[in-house]
Amino acid sequence: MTDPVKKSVTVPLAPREAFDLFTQGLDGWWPKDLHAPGNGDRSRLAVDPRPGGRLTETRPDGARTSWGTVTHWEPGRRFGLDWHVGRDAEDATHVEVVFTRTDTGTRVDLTHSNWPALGPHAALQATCRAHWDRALRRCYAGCTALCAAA
Amino acid sequence: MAYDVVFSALADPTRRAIVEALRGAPLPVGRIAEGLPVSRPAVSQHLRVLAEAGLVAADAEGTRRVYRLVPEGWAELRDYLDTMWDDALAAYARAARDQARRPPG
Repeated sequence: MTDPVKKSVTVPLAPREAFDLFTQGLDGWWPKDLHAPGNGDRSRLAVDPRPGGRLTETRPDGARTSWGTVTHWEPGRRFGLDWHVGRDAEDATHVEVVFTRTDTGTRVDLTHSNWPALGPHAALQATCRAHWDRALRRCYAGCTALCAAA
Repeated sequence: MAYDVVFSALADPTRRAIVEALRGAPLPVGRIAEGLPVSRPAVSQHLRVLAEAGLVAADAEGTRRVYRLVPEGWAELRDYLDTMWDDALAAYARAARDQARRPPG
């Protein structure tokens, strides 16, 4: 089994605020210039706030791309998404975001798992560890994002 | 590898079906086309797109070309998603700090 991608960040907001920003506020903070399959920063992202709802990207011409299906909608606690950009829903990888109150705000723990759905297992296992090391170095270089491989 | 190339390569249901067919074993174009409701030339075209995205490659076997999945292409896709979450959570943390600094109301 390939290790999931795990990331954590602590933000100075209450859990419910952190949850709302992550989900309903997604369009405002998602780095669309870097990571949007449609049309970069002119696309709009929206989350249908219920289990079974879709996370959709809408391009300026109205074309829509589904990024995934909401599996868990627990405001202030947990957001789960079957992430299947460009893939069949049954092939989805799974994204889970857990919000935990801390002394200074909320710790946000993100896990992107079910990697075997993405392709040949052996190759992923062979390269996973090197990728992790590189990603963590890059992440720790940032000023506030705190990433941890569990 | 440009990730949007991979995205668009996999956005097509026929190409996803081709990838599924190749998960079991490498196959020549004719065998891939047998299981799909599209013409053999169309399958060849889809294979070209997948090859340009780095997801499949062809080996010559006698007079025919046999297509297989390229493990490195899929590993890069995972690597990309890892980077994507680094970038996304950094942006999320910035937005959260901005929101925390704003006066209430």
